[in-house]
Amino acid sequence: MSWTRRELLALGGAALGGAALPTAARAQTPKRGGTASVRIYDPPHFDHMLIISFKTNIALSFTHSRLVKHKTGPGVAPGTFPLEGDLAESWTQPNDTTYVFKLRRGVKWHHKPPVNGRELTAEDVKYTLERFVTVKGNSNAYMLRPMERVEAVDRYTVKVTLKEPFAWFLDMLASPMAIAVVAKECVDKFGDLKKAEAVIGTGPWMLDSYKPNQSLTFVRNPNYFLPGLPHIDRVEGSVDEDTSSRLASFTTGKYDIGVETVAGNINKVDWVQIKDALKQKRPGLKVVEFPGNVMSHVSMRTDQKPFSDVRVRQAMSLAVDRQGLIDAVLEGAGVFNAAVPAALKEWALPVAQLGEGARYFKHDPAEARRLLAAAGYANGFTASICFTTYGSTVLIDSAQLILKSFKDVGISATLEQKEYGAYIATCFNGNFPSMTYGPQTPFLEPDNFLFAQYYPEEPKNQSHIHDPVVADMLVRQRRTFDVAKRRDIIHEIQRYLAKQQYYVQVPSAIYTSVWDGALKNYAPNLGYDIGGRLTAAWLDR
Amino acid sequence: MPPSTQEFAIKLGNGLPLESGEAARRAAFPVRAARSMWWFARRKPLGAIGAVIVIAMLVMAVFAERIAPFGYDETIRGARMRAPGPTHWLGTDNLGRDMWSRIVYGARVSVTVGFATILLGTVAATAVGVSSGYFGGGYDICVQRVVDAWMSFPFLVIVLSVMAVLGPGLLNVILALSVIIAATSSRVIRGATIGIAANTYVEAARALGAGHLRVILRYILPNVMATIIILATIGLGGVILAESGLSFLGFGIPPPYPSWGAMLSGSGRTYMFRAPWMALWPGVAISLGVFGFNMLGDALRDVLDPRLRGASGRTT
Repeated sequence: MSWTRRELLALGGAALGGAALPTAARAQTPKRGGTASVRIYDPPHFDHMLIISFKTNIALSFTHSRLVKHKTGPGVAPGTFPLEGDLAESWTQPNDTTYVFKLRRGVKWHHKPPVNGRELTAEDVKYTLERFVTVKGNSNAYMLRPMERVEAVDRYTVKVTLKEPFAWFLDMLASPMAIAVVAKECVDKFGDLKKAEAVIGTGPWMLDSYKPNQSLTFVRNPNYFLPGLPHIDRVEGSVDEDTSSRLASFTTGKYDIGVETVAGNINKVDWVQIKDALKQKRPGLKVVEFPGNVMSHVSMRTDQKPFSDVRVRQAMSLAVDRQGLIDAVLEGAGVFNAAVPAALKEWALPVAQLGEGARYFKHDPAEARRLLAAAGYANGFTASICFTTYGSTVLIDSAQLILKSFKDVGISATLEQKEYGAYIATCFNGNFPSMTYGPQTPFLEPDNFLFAQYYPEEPKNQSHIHDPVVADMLVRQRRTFDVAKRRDIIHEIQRYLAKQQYYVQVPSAIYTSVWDGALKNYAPNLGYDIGGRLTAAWLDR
Repeated sequence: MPPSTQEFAIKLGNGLPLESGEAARRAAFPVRAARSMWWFARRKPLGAIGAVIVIAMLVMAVFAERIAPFGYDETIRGARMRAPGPTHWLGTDNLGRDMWSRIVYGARVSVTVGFATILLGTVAATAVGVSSGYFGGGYDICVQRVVDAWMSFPFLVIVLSVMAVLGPGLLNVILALSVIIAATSSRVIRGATIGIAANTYVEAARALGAGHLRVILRYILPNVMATIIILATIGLGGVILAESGLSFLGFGIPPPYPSWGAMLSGSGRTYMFRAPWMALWPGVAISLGVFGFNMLGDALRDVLDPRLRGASGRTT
């Protein structure tokens, strides 16, 4: 009897499939228990309404719930953020400015004083939303600025009335960067929520221990409102600020998910160096690549000369060698960004589709010099760029390339390097004399990139833009509930902004997200909701 | 009256082998200088090596534009992380910049920071140390308690605090490091001043009606000058290392101007395994620079300090 190669392959495939079937089936059955190990960040404190810090938000993603949240799991493509209820079982929108949320019944606070496991009610949600917009020092309060009033209709019903239509309202509520629901008793007892003792939520895990600069440990909340979840008993978060240390730890199997940024990735520069070692040491490692939403840009004082001249701004964009930057700094793995980062794929317009403005994303120093000459700056001009390193060599390297690009067309710019705190207090909020270069908060919807950065007088309008055309479009998109129509307006905005070049956007990295093969039902995504992404995951060691 | 530093120098000249004092005086200056250097090199070979390194650094710093084949920020297309070779002797970095050119320009930062810091710090230390040691009494106690308090803080804490307030930059690095140099050196200079002020020739000058300023300028300063010179030369290596450390921590000279410490810490560390030359050459440059200044400083101390002139084993 003889076998053809095709038959042998078919037989081999069938045999392999058969052998793998019981394992696959077994892996699909959730398994309770185990300890997941992740790299975590030491929060400055735990009151997310008194600080903008991803470190705080990540910690609270394990312990707190929101009214609505983004779906997680292997079925969700990275860069997309479909909504689902969290504390809200359902919601309706009777008109453009009213939302009615029906809360889940039997949701219990963590069994810790002062709440001691009491049931969450509509009053808690009302208190949280009102504290969010009224507490002094909440720099994110603008996210719910359109909110007029919150009413606890009954024990399980919350009614929110807005001053004006705001199509992104649910997205803001779902943002893991903002509105975790808190208990009034905790604020009353501790004064605020800064202390670790005040970390009391209704989330899947409870904070078990906090050792400043060392670790945060979370244990399973036995009374979590979703039956059977979470599967993982314990999550140990290690504060690991040294790149070499955490890479070595990841390579040897200490961490279950990647150690850089919130997407659980490994920086491409490091990935290139350690991937072969990882193949041997962690053969089951899962890898997914997708664009990151951390987008840096050069902002400039468009209310002053020379940046008030659109030709100067266009010249600056033409001067920047974006592809060269991707090759040199991002190991060739990056994506061009326009006003909305390419990572938000449901909303971002590819550069090629930006119409007339697309040409300003090309590297064309000759055209840049021509535009500068036409604007009256044939000999270029001098400028400064306010900057902080964020401890990132990628940022430092890209800043150097941008300086060189500007120099090549006659713009002699110097880096005015500031300490991080000083930078955030001044330049990040538009208080600088000439230009600023740095990353922007990686939000998950386009409104925070557009309205916040382009609407007149907004704190993050770093370029001091007062453009009635763009302001009108920004308001229109906020009032358009039809998603397709809103997308059209947002595309229109991006095409318009490509011509104006109020900011010179720099490419973003493509993330290489990795996680241990034993971690099942987990999928990476953008955003700070690491706890959310682990809630339905389980360990099959 | 004990001999001053200048007199020591003349004595050293008189001691040249194979040469009588009269002949040496007649010889042309270049010849005398060459012979002095040869004598120095034979007596202090490590010091001579240090001197060569220091001179090389100075030349690199002054003539960087002529020595470096490329600009410090010139990115060469297609030459990313190229290994050392004929075109790029020390290779290129991750942005395609010539490492040799950046090392040459980096010498300018090290030399500028080194000499400016030492100059500023030593002038301040001399003013504080000499006045404190000479006047003594309540003034001395007050000044020294301030110096004590200043010195009780760890070096890095002070420097990082100053840099955090002032922000990164060449001038700020110089100011921050000068403050440290001034405090530590002033204590040594004060000690030397106290010893010299107790001598009878100082007392005699006072008895003859010399004012404080005249006494300090004519009788104290010339005799503490050896100590000051030694402190300055030995401190130079430390300052270069401190500047590299500050740049390594991101508080030094802002990019793209190259500083050896920043080159070592930033991309140098990131690409250490793929392009080891990116970290190697700045490290070598820092080591050589510090070694050079330290060896030269040690040798000068041995030559200039009358108590240590026989330290190499020879009696004088």
